[in-house]
Parts: sequence; C-alpha cells; structure tokens
Amino acid sequence: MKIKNFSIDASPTKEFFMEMLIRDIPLSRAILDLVDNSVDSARTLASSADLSDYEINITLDEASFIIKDNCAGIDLKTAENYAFRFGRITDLESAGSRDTGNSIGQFGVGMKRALFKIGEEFEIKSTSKNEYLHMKENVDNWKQYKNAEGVDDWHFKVEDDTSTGMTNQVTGTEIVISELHSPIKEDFTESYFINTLIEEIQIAHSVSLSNKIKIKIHSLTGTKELKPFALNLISSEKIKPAYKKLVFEKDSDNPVTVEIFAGVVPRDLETSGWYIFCNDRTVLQSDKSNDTAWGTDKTVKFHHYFSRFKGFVFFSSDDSSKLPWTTTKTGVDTDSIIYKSTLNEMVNIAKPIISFLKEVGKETIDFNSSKTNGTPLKDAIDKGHKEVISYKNIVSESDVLKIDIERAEENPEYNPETKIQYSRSVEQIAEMIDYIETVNSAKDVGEFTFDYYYDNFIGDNE
Amino acid sequence: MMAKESFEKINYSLRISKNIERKMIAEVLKRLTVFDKIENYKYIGLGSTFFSDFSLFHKVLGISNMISIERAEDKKERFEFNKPFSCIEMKYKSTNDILSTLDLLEKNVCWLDFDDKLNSDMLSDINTYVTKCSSGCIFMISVNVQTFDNRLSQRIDNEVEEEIINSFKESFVSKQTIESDGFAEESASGNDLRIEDVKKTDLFGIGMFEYSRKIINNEVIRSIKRRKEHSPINYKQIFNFDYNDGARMLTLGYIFYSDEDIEKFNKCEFEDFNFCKFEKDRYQIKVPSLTYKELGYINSNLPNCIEEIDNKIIPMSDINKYKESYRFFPSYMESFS
Repeated sequence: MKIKNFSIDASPTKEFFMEMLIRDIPLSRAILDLVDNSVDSARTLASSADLSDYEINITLDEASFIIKDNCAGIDLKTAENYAFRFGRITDLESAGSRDTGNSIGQFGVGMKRALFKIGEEFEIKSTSKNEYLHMKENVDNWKQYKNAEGVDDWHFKVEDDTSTGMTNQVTGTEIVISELHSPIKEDFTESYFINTLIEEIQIAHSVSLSNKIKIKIHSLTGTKELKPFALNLISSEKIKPAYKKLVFEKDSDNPVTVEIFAGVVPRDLETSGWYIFCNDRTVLQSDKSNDTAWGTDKTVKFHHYFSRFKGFVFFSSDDSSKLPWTTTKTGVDTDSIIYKSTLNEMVNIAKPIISFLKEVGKETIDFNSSKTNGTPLKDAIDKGHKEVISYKNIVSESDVLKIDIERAEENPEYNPETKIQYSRSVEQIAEMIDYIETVNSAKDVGEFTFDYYYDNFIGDNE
Repeated sequence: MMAKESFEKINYSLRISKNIERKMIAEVLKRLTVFDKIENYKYIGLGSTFFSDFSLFHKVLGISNMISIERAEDKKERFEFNKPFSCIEMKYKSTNDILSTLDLLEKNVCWLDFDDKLNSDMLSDINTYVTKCSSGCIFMISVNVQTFDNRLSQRIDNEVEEEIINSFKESFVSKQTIESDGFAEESASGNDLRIEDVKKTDLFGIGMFEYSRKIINNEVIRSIKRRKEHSPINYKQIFNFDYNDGARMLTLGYIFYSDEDIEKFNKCEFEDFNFCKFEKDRYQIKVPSLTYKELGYINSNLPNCIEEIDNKIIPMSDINKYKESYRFFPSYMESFS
C-alpha cells in the first residue's frame, strides 16, 4: 500500500464561527458585555473611585440598539490589536502592550459577540484623546469578503479620521446596531425583557453605580436611570462586621487583592448570602450554594436562620485574567487556587456569624416556649435599620464579627417539657378510649393516664 | 436522661500518663521564649472541671492569659466554681463555635484535649486554627484511639466489622471531609486519603492510632496549603504521644513559624527532648507499677548510677520505663482529710 500525506484545511468558515460565538449567549448578557466595556473605560479614565463624570446611555427600540458613553473612547491601537480581534493576544508586547489595568473585559470576545448577536449592521464612532475612528459594517457583506486567493478575509475596515495634533476635549464611544435580528426586535419591545436587562445591569454594576456612574436606559418603558443594589451591613457600637484583607502573588507585578466583609443585616431571605466581585463587577450575588461553601463539609446548608447573613468579597488585580471568574462573568471559577484559598477564609469568617445566627434562631424558640423573657439579639438586628451602612464606610480591623449584646434572661418560672413516645396495641387503646369516655385519641389516652398516675401517686394529693 | 460529660465520669487528676504528658509538654513550651516571653503567650484549652493543664501552665510557665472552652453550657456554675485561678476566662459553646472567634494572631498555645474519637468537627477545628494562627504558635490535639469495642473484636464476623467501619465513617459528617479539594496530601501511592476507603486494619490495634494520626496530619498539611498563597507559614510536628490511662490516646503537636522566624525555630532545639517526635514514630508513655519505697530507691540512683540498682528486686523493664519519665512522674498520696 502506498502512503500518501495530505493536509486538511480545518479553519472555520466565518458563518460557523459566528454561529458558535453567539449561540449560547443570552441577549441581556451580550448587552452587558458592551456595558462592561464602557464601565471599564470610565474606570481607566477616572483618577479616583468617583465615577460621577461618566454616563452611559442605552437606547433600544424596534429599529436599533444604541449605546453611547462619554468615557475614554477606543484608540486606533486598541482597535487594531484588541477591540476587533477575536480573543486576546497573549503576547502583549506584539500587541503594542495595551494596559488592561483593573479591567472587566478579559476574554476578548464581548463586543464582537454583541454586535453579531443583535443585528446585521453596525456603526462605531469613537473619539479618544488624540484620535478619532469610524467604522460601519454590514455583517452579511463582511461574511462574503475574500482575499485575492479566494480565502475568507477576516478584516474589518476602519476609517481613521485622525487629524494631526488632534486633542479632543470630549471623548467617548457610540455604537449603533441596526437591521435587528427578528427575535431581538421582539425582545426590545417587551417590557419583561427591558426589566430583566435593567435588573441584570444593576446587579452586575452595583459597585460602579454606587460610585456614581450614570447608566440610563431609554426604551418603550421610558427612561430609567439605574440604581445600585445596597451593599450594606449592620455596623454599630454593638454589632461590628468582620473584615479581612488578603494579598496573593505579593511579589508579582500584578498582585491580586482580596477584601472580605461579612456580618449581619435585618432579615431578608432573598438578598442574604455571599456576593462576589471581580474588579468591581458582580459575578455572584446572594449566593447560598456550594460555590460559597454552603452545604459542604465546611459550612452547613443554607437555612432560613441565615437570612440575616451577608458577605461581600472583592477580588481586584491589574491583571484581570488572574481573577476567579468564569468567561460569562456569571459565576466564580471554583478551581482557581486563589478562589479556593479565599473560600477557606470566607468559611473562617462566616463560622462565628453562622453560630451567632443559630443562637438568634434559638432565642426565638426559647422565647416562644417561655423559657426566656425576650429576644434582644433579634431585636438588635431587625430593628437596627439605621445602623445598616455601605461596606465602603465600614471600619473594622477584626476578622471576627463582634457582638456586644446582653442575652435574654431565663424565665424563673420556666417549666420545660419533653415528649414521651411509646406504642401499645390498637385494641387496648380502643378499650381505654371507651372506658375513659372523656378521651378521643391515643394521644389523649397517653396524657390522661400519665396525669392520672401523677395526680394520684406523686402530685400534691395529701 | 442527659448523657454524662466525660468530666463526670473520669477523675482527670489521677490519670498518670496524662500527668506525665502534661509535664513533658510544659518542659517543651519553655523553649518558646525565643519567640516571645512565655508569660506573654495565651493558652487555649479544654479545662473541664479539673483544669489540670491550666494549673500546671500557670504555675510552671507563668501564663496568665488563659481561655477554657466548654461545651456543657448548662453547667456554667460548676465550671466557674472549679476555676483554680481567676485568670482563666471561660467560653461556653463547642470548640467549633469558639475557635473561629478567637484572635489567633496573638502568640498562643492551643491544646484541644478531647476524649472522643476523631470526627469531622475536630478536623474543622484543625483547619480553623492552622489557617489563622501566627508564627510561634503551638497547636496540640488529643483524641481517643482505643480500638472499637474489644468484646466485639473477639468474635468478629463480617456483619460486626461492617457496623464498626460504618459507625466510624458516620462520625465524619461528609464523606468528602478529607477527600481531595486540591489541597490534600499526596500519599505514597499518589492517592488522597479518603475516609471512604477506611479498612478494617485501620480501625483495630495500632491501626486506629496510625490512621487517626494520618488524618490529622493530612488536615494540617491541607490547611497549610490553603493559606500558602496569601500568608504562608511553615510547620513542624513536635509531639506524637501514645499513652493509655484506660483508653488508648494520641496527642499530636505542631509548631508554626514564618520564614522570617526560621532561626528562632531552630534555636528551640526541640530535638534535645527524647519525647519530641517529628515524624511517624511515636513516643510511648509507659507507666511502671512501683511502690513509693522503690521510687525513692531508684531516684537515689538517677540519673547516672542506674547500673547500681539491684534488678533482682525490681524488674529491669520497670526500671527502664521509670528512667524515661522519672522527672515527670507524679506521686500520689492518700490523705484522710
């Protein structure tokens, strides 16, 4: 037999590639990717945590989707090496060393995926400090582009309208997507979808929103300015949350800093649990699952007793690829060593809080069975609404929740009860019911006979 | 009926091996002065109603910052009454609840002197301590390693055997307790230690001692790995006591030290003590049965004239046992008070 060597061209067609890219991403997630980019851009431009100078406007209707910000804009180098490429170039030097400091975007697919997902045509205008770029593309046309050899041409055509010595006072990016795909068109006219989108952005960017970035959504439901979720804990003289800071890879150029805040809040089952942020982007909210150790050998299963527990964990690094998030930013990478080590500290910090909340739960039971005279712990938490403050204002040096509240006193007249359980033949019990007359059930028989014996032989029957 | 607490069943002050062990430990703790004055250390223990370890460490080492953890919360008055010194602070609740609330960054010595067999709560305590402690701290844990019911082992059949193995497994809340979470110790065979795989030979005779030691050690190593990325610390096993005052017990002890403190650790020179054990080999505390007259007679020939002792009166084996621990040997006297 003669052996012939030949090679197979395995490069994907554009069609297939785009299909794969947009298939599993929900629409709201795709839009969130664009919001992430704008927030990123604001964060790189801002000199402090205060983002009140920046505004992101999203307009969606039947005809188009527009996102417009007054953030840093996309410079040509970024456009060329990063923004319009698929995937991130790992060798930063060859990419012209784009500084992605503390960024949210890291996987290099977000913008392209959103563009393809939403419509057939897109136009991008971006003014950065010294440059201006413009591009307009019809996706259908782009799919057809071939080079001289008849091979797929993957280039996007960008107009560089930069004039020499340009210094722009106002920077920003505007993306307009039109010729919307038909299911998208439907979503944009559904108030249910709009509300979901608003909620998702509010959750994802709670930290930036609380740092005063403005995000507005203009849609058929009107204009809505987004509000942050309150990232609050009780902090008072009597109750002090726990705090711990960890630094990973201290000696590297891009260490990862982790800050953990945890404590108690007035009872709220829905919002209780752990919150995890990577470079201020929410990746997990009110988590009560294995991902944050609930119901594993490290922490008990989440129980309604713990609906007064809240914890916030902030991971941050100049190198966002070191952060423990999943590519969709909707969860944590539980295999990450940094996450696993942090999780252990979260467990250590949660332990005293959980044990305290068990005590709070038991306090009510004891009070209800008149064993004790009050519920001071529960009252201090649930009535302490004035003391609920943002994590940003919490000053705590201890990694242990501090509680300084007098416990309820035991009732001197408390007479504890316990259950007796035993079995007797059905026939005998029936006979007893007949005989005693005033009783109707097996339980009654048990109680009657106990009381009868006690009264006659033990109790005060002089 | 309420189950009895162990302090209500055993009079701790009469347990000779434990008594010897305590004194040996105190002797070693004196070496901690290279890290800080020993009286600046905090002692965390389970004092029960006898507080024997607290009394000794307060008197001999001058430690006066002491915390005793006690789970029998409903007997508070009894503990308060029995506190031998006012410097002991009582904390009521389980070690699991209390340990995580303590500031373990202060220099401390912690001895979780349990009476029970190893269980997952204890492993959780180990993790809490080891991931939170600072350089110069010592952690000790004692557990019961008595072979499962002797009477059963005599007429052991498959059913009984299975029952014993299952009851052991059940004492670990989750079967994953010591399973791999990426931090486990690689055993010689490359497999992680798993409670699931416990065998009959692990639970009988010396097997129970060895197996318990392995699990504890594994948890210490895992905890060290869990903190390695943000606050690394070194550890060294220093105690591996095997003793029996009615039930076979294991005490493991570890010292923790940072890279900066390696010199200090070296200066402790724990290898001076023949009862310090750094690896798998154990130190067996053996108690000879000798009369006071015999003790006095042997003492007068110790430490360096041992060959002059008449071994026709006292068996050589007892002399040898006594020679090992005579400095720590308690003498009890009946008093008709």
